[in-house]
Amino acid sequence: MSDDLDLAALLGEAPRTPDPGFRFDVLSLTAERARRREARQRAFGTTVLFALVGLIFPVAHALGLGLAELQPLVLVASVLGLAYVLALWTLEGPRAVLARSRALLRIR
Amino acid sequence: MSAGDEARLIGLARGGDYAAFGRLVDMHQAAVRAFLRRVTGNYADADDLAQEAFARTWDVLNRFDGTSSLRTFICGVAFQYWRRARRSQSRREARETAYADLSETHTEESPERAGQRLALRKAMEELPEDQRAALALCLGQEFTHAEAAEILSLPLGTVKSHVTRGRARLQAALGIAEKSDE
Repeated sequence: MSDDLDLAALLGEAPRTPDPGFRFDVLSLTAERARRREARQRAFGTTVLFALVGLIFPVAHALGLGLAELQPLVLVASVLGLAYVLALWTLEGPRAVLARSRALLRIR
Repeated sequence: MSAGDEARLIGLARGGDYAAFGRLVDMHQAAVRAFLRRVTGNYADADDLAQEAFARTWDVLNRFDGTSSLRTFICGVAFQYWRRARRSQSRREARETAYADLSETHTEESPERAGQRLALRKAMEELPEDQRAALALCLGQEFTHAEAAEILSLPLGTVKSHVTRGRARLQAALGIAEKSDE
């Protein structure tokens, strides 16, 4: 029993053929990790965005800008935000009018 | 499969091709799983670690520069995972797992061989981490000493010495087991 291969076999044997179940488990785990990473990045992005939006008024106040001075800026930001939501709705919403165009252009 | 084919698959996998990565998994799973089985002594734990190592490899495939083989690269990742897992697990737990593995997965083997395996497992658990890993890599002849040195980030001479001394410890453990069986 002094032969290296015998020792190795006693310690644990290598699978003789590639196991499709193992491959499947690896790919599932890989995809799951990728999903989690994307979800984390999305959550981080959302948090940062809302934090920045929340910071607008305190920063403006610190700079001495009142609501009256900020009104045009808020109006423009609101219009842009609304346009963004509508665009998303058109591309990805339940009626997805532009879904086919999006698929053709491969916009993600 | 040639080195060119492997390089092509690596390129595809870097671009997000899961099928190509699946083929790389098929190519290297035997060596990685064998290494982890020998080093952990538990097939289920070893396969879990191997899956983690392959999944991590997918994440860091861009860091693979091709100076070593992909198999060596994945085993390096697997070694790090094993070391981390080992540190978070108590020695007692590891021993219990090894006993459970003996009873669950090798019921068809003779009591003598089971005794030898147990003796080897105990001897392995008493070895330092690096020595244990060097033995697990080199005993089955899946890896050369140079590859093991690369995986373990150790000098070649140290790996050779680890293998020689470790082999002697395992053989001694088997001798003791054989005497006690008689």
